[in-house]
Amino acid sequence: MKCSAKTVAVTILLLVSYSLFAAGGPEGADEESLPTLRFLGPSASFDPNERYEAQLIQEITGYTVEYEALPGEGTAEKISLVLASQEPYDIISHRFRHADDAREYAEAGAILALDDLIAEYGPNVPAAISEASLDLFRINGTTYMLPAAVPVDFARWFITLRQDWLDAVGVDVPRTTAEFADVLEAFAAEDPAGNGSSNVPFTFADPLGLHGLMGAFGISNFWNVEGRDLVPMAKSPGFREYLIFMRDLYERELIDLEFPANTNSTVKEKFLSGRAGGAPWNVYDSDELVLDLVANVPNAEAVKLDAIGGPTGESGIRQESGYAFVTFIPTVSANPEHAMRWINLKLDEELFKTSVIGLEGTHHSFDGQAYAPILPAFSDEMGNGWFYLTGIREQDYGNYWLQVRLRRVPEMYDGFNAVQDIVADNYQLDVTTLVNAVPEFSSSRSELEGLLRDFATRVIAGAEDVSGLDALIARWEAAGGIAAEEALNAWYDNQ
Amino acid sequence: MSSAAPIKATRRISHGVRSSREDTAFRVISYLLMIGYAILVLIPLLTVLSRAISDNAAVNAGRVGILPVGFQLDSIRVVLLTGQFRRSFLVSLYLVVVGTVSCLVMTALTAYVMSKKHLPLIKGILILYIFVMLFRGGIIPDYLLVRSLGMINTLGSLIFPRLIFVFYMLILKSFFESIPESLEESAKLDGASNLRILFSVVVPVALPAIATISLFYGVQFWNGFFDALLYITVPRLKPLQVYLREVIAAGVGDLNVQDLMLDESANLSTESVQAATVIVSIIPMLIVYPWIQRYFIKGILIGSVKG
Repeated sequence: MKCSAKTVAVTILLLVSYSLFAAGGPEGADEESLPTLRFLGPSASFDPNERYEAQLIQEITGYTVEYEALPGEGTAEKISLVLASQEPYDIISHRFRHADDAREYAEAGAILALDDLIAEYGPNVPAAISEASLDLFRINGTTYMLPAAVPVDFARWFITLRQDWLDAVGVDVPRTTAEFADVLEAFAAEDPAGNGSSNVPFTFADPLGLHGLMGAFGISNFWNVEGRDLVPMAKSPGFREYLIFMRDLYERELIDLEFPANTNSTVKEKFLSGRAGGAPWNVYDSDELVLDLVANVPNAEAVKLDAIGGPTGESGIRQESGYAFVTFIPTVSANPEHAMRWINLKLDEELFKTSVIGLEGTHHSFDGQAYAPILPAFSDEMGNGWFYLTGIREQDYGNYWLQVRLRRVPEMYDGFNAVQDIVADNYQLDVTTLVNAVPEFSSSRSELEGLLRDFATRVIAGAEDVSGLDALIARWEAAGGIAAEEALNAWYDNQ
Repeated sequence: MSSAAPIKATRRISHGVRSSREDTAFRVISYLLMIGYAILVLIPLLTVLSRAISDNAAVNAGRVGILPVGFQLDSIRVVLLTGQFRRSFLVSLYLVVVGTVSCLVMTALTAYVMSKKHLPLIKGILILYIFVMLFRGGIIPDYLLVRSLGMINTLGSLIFPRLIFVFYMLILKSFFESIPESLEESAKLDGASNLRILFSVVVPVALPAIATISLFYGVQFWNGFFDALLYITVPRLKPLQVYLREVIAAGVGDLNVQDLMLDESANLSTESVQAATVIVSIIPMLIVYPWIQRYFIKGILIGSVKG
């Protein structure tokens, strides 16, 4: 058979190019006796193997680790596939929020029970992670996961108004619902920025996302503590009053008439372009509130509001707590003891500090009282440190995070702290962020919240009368509300 | 080629006859519709482009439409300097080149054999192909197969399971069938082997069809996303579409308490960087399309004019 030289060349080229990228798995143990560990972490838009953090962690722990990242989409399915196909990862870190999320894996024997490993190789684990946290994530009394608590409890959403608009119409920062309505009325009547028909006194997207305002009606959260009970928002008398208050603002055209069609980004657009006098704001976007507003509207200034007081003097703002992610060891891990040793080393007081905020003098400084990042070295070399976490020292991480990690973007740090300071006296902890293993609640949660949100939108926009609330409560109860209420209260009684 | 002649003839006739009023009206309406459609397609592209080269504060304030506000090229520079972007770009390029060539070879070989109806059992084999075109095992068997072949976290996992797209093979098969038997017979008389006939006689004649299919394959590899999601966790092997998803997903959606802790927010790419990433990643396709288009028009006729 005659084959042309071209055909042969193409075939060879193909074969060579296949082999070019063929190698992918671990390249075996390194020269030392320590095995190479395989870590599967959260999705990342960078290569964690090439970052400085990886080098640093290798230096301080002595372990070579191959880092791989979960996809940003279909993550839960990917984990199931990985575990079902027995891909031998040594450590997996994932954002399971509740013990229930991993119950199937534990019961199927796909992830290791860690108690013995902790006892033998992980003395730092109980010192770093509180018994309460470990216990929340136990399944049938066994530890399968090491949970990482959020560094600080905090308020995420606050309300911002344009200070220069307030000055122009000559009123003070509102402290009560009545003053709030007066301010919006002045914004509407006087149009301080000369926006004309596009003037919006106050814009928002989610009618149940204005926590600092809803606190005035005693409904900062979807579940509010009253005495020893958790009362759902739908059944709080404040819910009806809040809807009537907002309906009135809507009828007087004091709030964004397009709010049902708004998204978080259109809200941002309206405020940052100077068309809106106020909006709910995420502490996360604090830097934009400072930088982008002035870039678009010279001389503009935004003021952050404290929780607004209601007719009865009540006020509050939603505060969140909870857990960020868990770390576990698959049963098929080739090196479970080394995996636990590595985790344990990283929870050592000094090593943990180094792995989170880098080296003193290079990445951070310490003045005897507090830490501070050294920029830009900290951002460049330690900026992606979150990827490498396999558990946190609960007593330390809050400080490291607040004093160093958050301060990488000064505007964000200032904004975050300013908001927390302003609302500090009015925190209303959303206890459901701490709920674990209450399936009656977690299974119907989004549907129940959706029912309330739809109803609120329809009432405020005038498509339905607030008298439909009783019918709504009936629907809410039928959709799993009763079961959730009973289960949540039973859980809360045990706290 | 036989198909070229009648097209020319029609064109001559249409030039000779004075077009009626209906013809003009039809043409005007067609052009207007086409222009309108082109604009519809262009607007989103232009919007992304202008976001990529606009000042980020203006993008956040929603002031950027089709025209850029506050021109800057920093975002595009940031994208081009990002190591992971360049790596993913190369991975995708590799997939397109190696994947497309591999697929073409396998598809053409299969289609050629399938077009020889006189071979024994050929109908039965064809039915097998059609069966797997219609029914698939599903994600989990696919994953287990790829895994037991040892191809997890290799680029092979993105190429080998997709070597033959049966539908394209059928298109090519029917094109091969339309090539006169006498052409091959004459080559055989000259002493050509089967492979020689395929590559020196049949393939050149079928070039329009092959170019079309290669475009399909190429686009498929360039846009490939789901397979990589399943099979690739090693960052250096992530193709561009997966990288794009990660860049854009990190920037949208309500960030929750968990993200705050993981303090990704300081790493969030700005809107204009996201747009710049999109723009840079569609450039190769924009370059390739017009180039292959001339074959494309001929190739798309396959099957409609047979024999």
